[in-house]
Amino acid sequence: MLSRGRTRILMLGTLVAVLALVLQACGPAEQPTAVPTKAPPAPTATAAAVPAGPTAAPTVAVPTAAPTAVRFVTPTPTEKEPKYGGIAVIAGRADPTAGWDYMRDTNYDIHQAGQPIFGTGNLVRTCPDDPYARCPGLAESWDVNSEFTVWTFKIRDGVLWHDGRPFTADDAKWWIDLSVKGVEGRRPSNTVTSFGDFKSAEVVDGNKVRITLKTEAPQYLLELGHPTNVLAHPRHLMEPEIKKGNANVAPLDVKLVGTGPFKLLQYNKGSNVSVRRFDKYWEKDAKGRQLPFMDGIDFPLNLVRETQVASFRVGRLDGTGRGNLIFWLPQQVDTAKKQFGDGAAFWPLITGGRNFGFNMTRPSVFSDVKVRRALSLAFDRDEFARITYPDLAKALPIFFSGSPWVNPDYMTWPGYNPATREKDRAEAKRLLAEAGFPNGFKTELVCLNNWLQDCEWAAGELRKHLNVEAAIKVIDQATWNERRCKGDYDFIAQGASVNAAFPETVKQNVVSAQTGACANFYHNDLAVDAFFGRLAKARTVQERAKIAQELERYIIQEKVYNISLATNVSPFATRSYLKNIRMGITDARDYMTQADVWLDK
Amino acid sequence: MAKIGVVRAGVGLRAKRGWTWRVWVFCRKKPLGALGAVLLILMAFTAIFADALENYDPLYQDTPKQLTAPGREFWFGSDVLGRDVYSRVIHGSRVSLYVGLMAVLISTAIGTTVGVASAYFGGWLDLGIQRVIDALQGIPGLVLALALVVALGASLNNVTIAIAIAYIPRVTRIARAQALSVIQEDYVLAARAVGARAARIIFRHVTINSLTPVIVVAAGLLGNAIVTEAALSFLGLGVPPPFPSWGQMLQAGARGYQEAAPWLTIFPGLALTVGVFGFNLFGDALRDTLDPRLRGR
Amino acid sequence: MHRYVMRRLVLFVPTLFLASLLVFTIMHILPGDVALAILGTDNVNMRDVENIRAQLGLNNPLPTQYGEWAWGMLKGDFGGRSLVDREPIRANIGRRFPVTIQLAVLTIAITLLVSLPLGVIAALKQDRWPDYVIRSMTILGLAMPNFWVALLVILGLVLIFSWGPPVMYRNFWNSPSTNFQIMIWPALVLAWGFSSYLVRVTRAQVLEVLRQDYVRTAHSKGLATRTVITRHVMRNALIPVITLLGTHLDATLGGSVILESIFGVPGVGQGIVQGANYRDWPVIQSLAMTLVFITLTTNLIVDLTYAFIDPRIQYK
Repeated sequence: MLSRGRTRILMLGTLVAVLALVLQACGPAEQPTAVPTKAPPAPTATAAAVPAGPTAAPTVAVPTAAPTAVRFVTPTPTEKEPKYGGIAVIAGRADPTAGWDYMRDTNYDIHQAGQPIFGTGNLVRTCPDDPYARCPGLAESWDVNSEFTVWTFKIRDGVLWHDGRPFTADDAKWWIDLSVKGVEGRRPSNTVTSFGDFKSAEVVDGNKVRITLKTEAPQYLLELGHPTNVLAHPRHLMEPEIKKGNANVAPLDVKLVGTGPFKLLQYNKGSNVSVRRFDKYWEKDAKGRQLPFMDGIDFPLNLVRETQVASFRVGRLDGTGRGNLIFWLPQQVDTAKKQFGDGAAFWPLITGGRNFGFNMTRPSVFSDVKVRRALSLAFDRDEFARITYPDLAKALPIFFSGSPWVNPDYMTWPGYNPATREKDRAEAKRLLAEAGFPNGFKTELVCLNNWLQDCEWAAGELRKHLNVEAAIKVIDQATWNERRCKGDYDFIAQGASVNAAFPETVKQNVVSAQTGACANFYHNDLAVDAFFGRLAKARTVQERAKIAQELERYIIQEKVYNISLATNVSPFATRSYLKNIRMGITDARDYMTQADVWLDK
Repeated sequence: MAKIGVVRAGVGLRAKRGWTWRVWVFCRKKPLGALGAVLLILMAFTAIFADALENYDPLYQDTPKQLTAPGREFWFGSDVLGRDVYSRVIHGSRVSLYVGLMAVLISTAIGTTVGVASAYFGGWLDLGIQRVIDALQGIPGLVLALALVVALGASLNNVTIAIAIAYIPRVTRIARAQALSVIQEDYVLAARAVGARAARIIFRHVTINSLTPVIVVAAGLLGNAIVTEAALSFLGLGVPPPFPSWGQMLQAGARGYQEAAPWLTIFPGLALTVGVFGFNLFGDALRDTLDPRLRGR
Repeated sequence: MHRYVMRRLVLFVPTLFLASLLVFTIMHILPGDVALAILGTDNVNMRDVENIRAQLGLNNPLPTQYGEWAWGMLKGDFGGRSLVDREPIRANIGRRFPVTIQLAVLTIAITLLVSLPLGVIAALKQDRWPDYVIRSMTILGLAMPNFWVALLVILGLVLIFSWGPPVMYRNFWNSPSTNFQIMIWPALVLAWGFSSYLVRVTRAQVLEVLRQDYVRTAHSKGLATRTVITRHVMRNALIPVITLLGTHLDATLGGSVILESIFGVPGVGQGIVQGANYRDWPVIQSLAMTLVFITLTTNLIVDLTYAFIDPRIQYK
């Protein structure tokens, strides 16, 4: 049903333009579905009337897969009849933190073992066949008014919590309110931005939830259904706790009761999470087969990369974990390929980007845009990509290449274009001289210890090409968080989160310090915030793409607040007998439920 | 007894044969110790003349040539960033020697003083000092060093200081335990009885005679400090770049490249092993030589 | 003797107090803020950070904070709950403590079994080939950082036996065989390093004792060599060895911080590293204090044993 449903609410690129085609694809059975069908005449019509314009052209290249190398052959979908049963062993990375509360943590750690229990997304979720669109989740359909301010979701019948209680519209409304408003003693969710410019939520007709927004949001579902926004808070268990005064009750405190395909068997902290089939799971596959197929999954936690790789090679693991620090190195993939041949699949998962940021809120050598631009021009992004992950990592500005939001011509930008490399470096030296540093300068590069190699490379390149001495200041995660969030740096090696597939994902990492957010480069530029206001109101994908591309150019080219270098690729491995494994293309946290994964052995 | 040894070594001969002869005797009697001394001299030589011995700038990254196997161009291969492992190992000796020597010097100086004084004076002073040392000792060394590096910030000197502090209780306890024994010896009692000054007794008798186990431990710690720096590197908080430390190189190689690029671990690992080997062998020989009761045997 | 034991037991209290002060101070000079961990680093608002800090009492004067924590430790709830996931710390310690103790006991057992005989042999065969072989082995044990050895062990098991230890930890009483297959590796790696020290000290001490007058006297009395060694040499040589066993327990426990993460053993070390990532003060403090308690208790026992063995030491 999922794969056939094709209730794309977002038609990207040319797809949007060809409205009729879309309507056909939506199928007659599910009438209230796609946004464009409900679209008010004016904006969408004009958009549709200007099809395949210059702005639309780049978005044609909607990626179906990340760039793949020979090393990474994605197994073709099997036509075999799925088998029921079996327990897979798939490594997680570390213990989920924050009491497994998705309102507090967005880490892969919490999602890998969490999504089997809670499912992906909430009322809506990422489509399996189009990662840039949203499909029905716990809501089977939805409706929107012509102003895109009132969204009504019809809750699916027959959804049960793992303890047997039916999932209701009241549950959904309670969760939305808790996320957006919090309660006395409990802050709103960290995912509150996913709910847009929220006004109210109410239950209508008994089984519908209506969300009213203050401003129009044609792309609302993209935000709402972001993979980090998981519905994991059972009202019937948590509300009594909150009334008792335990305002910050977390899913773990109420024994992790979800609506997902698997229910929790046991969670041994520090060691493993085990989940087993939930027989009354609501979802069926395209051919009407009851999901999930597997009897369960065991997630061993906290194994370092080398232990995971070794355990995979000796057959103790059917799959390895996702995320930084534990991904497979190219050399490890090569060795394992020799051992397994087609017996194992390696997934080129993209988990953000590698970049360096500047602090604009305090005076330093980097206050001068010439200096920032000089640094940006000096780096050979292709070479950096090759070092971080040969064949897979790719130079990028803010957005993933292949997404509709990326500037289609970014590879011709100065600093990106291999053809102008020497010219760019000469220009970098000229700029630096013009800024008053003909012989370079000394600075400090604040570096998270996990990203040491990036820092060493950057410092080496700066020394080599610009005579800039960047002393590497190595700090641990908690210190890094503090210095980053309080803007205590001039030049910092960033985590992965500046770069993403969606503008909404990027937002909290790039907005100004005025918003109080913990940005990944620190600045007071309200112009950056303004882009996001415009994005929220954009009616069409083209319009959105245009704004996002402007934003990207503004940050990377014009102001050079951030030097983005390359995608951060974190491959994981699965044995080939695990069928239907999917990899999040727009977000590494997509498709972790493993609901339709089955064991062919 | 000690005197007999000196006589047998030949007071009269010493003038004629000079130090070369004595070195020869040392090598004959303590071949392992001599080996240790040679290794240490080699290491010191490497550290001092690193700039002359290097093939390339240890920081120069030739990324297109990353992960080259050992060969004519890169004797020990190249690392992920295309830097010459040989040159880095050579320069790494500076960092490792520095960390080892300074950390042990600091901890031994403080530890011995505190330990002996504590044992000699006894009473409330001993009581107080021992509580502090016990308390410090209770915190596992690596955890203590790690916390200190995080608190002070990772730098060459801070890593050294953190390691030194973590070693102080160990030295102090050994020094004190030995000093307690020594104080009961007749010659100390005698010195006290004739009314020798405390400082004189402490240094001439107690400290000197308590040194044996301290030196054994310190010699072990010399190597151990280098290994601890490697462990801190593994946890991401060792000596930071640009200083190439053996520990940092070893951990970078051991994480994922052990099979595909073994030269990344073998050469720094070998250097580290040889260094620690030298420190320990030499320390053993030093112990035998320094101990007044063993002198000349 | 009786009074000495009593005295040591009484002194144990101020030591614990000092250690707790030390742990508390170190933890509180670390940069980083637990509020950021609680809020998550996405979408953090610095105003919220301040609120959280106030809520958690992190803005209270340090003595107050110390008092609250110390009182919690005394009450037996180990300072309340984790700030990050609100798990009672008592549960956390109850889970991790036995794992680390098991690892430590296993390590010490292997170490003693191996190192005492080797140390004596090395001493008796001084400057002959058994001595050289044993000493070289021990120096290798000292020279190779344990994370390297551990990673080599894991890789070696794959390449040679196509085998790896189980990936999911089981308690000894639930599944002894799984538990053993996991625990034996970190224990062996730790024991190699640990016994390297012990062999060397045993050797040094035996050598020293062999040269003592009373040993010569014993020999000249016509006692059998075996009797001299067991009755005179061993007994006297063992004292510093035991001291070292005590003083190096902290090294073992410290080393387990790394090995636990490599072998997936959910012990105290792993807990400290995890807690430190979030600056979860009460958790790190309480876990560190647990380690301190183990080491101090062992040291106390060592000192008392010391008193029994070495008659030369007088206790006032």
